Amino acid sequence: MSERRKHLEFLRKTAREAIWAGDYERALTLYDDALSLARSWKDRDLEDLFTCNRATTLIEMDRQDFDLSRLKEVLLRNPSSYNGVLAAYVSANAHEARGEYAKARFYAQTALAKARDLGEEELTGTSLNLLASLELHESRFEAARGLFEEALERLESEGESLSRQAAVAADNLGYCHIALDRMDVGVPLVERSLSVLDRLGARQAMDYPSLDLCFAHVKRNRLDDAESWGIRALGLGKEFGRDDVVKNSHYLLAETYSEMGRESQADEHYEALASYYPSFPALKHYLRQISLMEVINLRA
Amino acid sequence: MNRPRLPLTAASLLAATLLFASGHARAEEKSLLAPDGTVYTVRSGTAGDLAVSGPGIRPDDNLIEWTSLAQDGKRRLGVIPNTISHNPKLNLDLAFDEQSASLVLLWKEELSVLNVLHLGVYKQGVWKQLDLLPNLGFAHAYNPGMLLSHQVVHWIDENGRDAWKTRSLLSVIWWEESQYAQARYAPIFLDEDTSANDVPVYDLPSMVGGGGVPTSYDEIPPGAYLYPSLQLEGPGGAILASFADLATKKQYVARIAFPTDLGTAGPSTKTSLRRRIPVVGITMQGPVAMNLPSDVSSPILTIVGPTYNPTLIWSQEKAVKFIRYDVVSGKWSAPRAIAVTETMSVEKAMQLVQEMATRN
Repeated sequence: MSERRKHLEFLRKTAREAIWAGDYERALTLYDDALSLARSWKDRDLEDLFTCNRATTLIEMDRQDFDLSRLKEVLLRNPSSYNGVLAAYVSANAHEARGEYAKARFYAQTALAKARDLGEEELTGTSLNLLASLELHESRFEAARGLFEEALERLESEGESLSRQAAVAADNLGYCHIALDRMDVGVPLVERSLSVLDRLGARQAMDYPSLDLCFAHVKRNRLDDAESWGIRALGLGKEFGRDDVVKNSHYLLAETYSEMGRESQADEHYEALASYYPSFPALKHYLRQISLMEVINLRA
Repeated sequence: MNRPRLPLTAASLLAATLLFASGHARAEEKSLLAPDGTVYTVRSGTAGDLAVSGPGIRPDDNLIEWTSLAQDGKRRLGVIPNTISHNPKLNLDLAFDEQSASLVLLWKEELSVLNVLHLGVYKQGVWKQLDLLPNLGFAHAYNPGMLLSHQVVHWIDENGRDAWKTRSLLSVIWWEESQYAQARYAPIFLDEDTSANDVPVYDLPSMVGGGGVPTSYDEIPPGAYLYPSLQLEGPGGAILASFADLATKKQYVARIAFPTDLGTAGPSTKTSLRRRIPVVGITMQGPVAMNLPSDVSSPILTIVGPTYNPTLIWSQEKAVKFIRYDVVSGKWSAPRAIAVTETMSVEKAMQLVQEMATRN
């Protein structure tokens, strides 16, 4: 390895360590420097890689101040190499973050196809998960179910069945079944996910499984269980500042209490939910009249 | 300790550099007169500050612009290739080697967690960039300086006859803080086709038999080590490198030369391959200077006298001060000062001290 490569690999390794430690600001600084040096030293391969790494870090930071066209350029220049697959995958994430789901789906499909062609196992797995999540977001539960099944099978075949990634995939797969009214298959998958996450101490990741179990129990009319999981999901959502979880929890708890005939408690949650939509003052009354349980998508 | 901590003053310098890096409001300029009367000027700053525009150049990009004005009035200008980026370019230094007709520019590029030194060589209308690679880690280079020297070399040509030529050597020295804090040295042969990948960089403590061991600052004043220096030994072409080694706590003056007999012509003969390997000898070693100010707001200048004993000179509080190493006692003198008055300017005082140091 050349001296230049050693420097760039050192920066890359240090940036990855910063990401694992959750220090995204430092990782970004390191990727910025690495990108500058790779450009200066004319190492196109690592320049492309750092372009993707930097964009991924910014997406993780909920920032979009990067040039998306650069990623597309990397993809076009490297149609059949690791950097090209990575660029497609990061482009999909970038479009997803911008709410451009059709484009996100296109690039996720591109990344998945190329990763499979090249035999890039890790990128195949992450692309599968992303594409499945995008299908789920668009309420295409059957398509999402197939992809999550494959993702989970891959992880299990790699001996990763007790990993955080497998637990999240199992939860998503379980949710697909629940949404398709296959409670008997979906609920055990979500329970398995919760058990793994609990063992791993991954409390934050337990928010959606809790929400999913609440949802399943409301659908099955097991209201005491629904209340218990809904309160748990709400607590986790508040603790980790996840508005999407908090809003869904309020809605499911309101439905639960409404079905239980505990109208004042239902009202509290409808009001809490309505407070997120000040421009829709009639929301609370609307939700009292119409149940969205048949059309709700907790991943939308 | 393995990873040296920056002393207060060096940290202050770094902070100032980073402050400048984020401020990017100032342009830096350096000019040089070549022997043929051409004036070369280089300026670094943002494209906006320098009023440079062009495809792909954003106003907040930092770059280096160069211009030349020849005796016949012909003006040339442009942006030095590969210098357009977000990172500030500082510490511009210029040199011109008449022997190889090369203009050399040295600069420091400030990134966020490290900085790197670059050399641009302008020859026959083309800029070529060479990089002086730091040691692995978050390296920071301080106070880079360069020196041109010439050396007459002998070889046997293809016809078996004696031949001589003058080689042009550009030497660069700087202080670097990464895994170890130490002075570093790089020789570049301007009469050869040096590529960006083959500029060797040497750790100076290693060249005098040390190096590769943890360094610590302890109570050593930053002025004692932050300004390693180069000086011509004489017309023979050897150079003198003066630097401090923080591991051994010693001050060295090392004589650096390169082989003058290149043997039989041919790039792959052993003698020829040795032509770029430095031959180093220690001409002075003593304790590191402790009686320097801890404030290094003005640079420390080193002059090595004819007996290889160094004099360290600096300007401080309306005075020019200096200390000298005494070979007999093995000690540094107490600081001596020339007061700056209406009749004694800083420049004049500096000149007097330098003349004294050069002759003694």
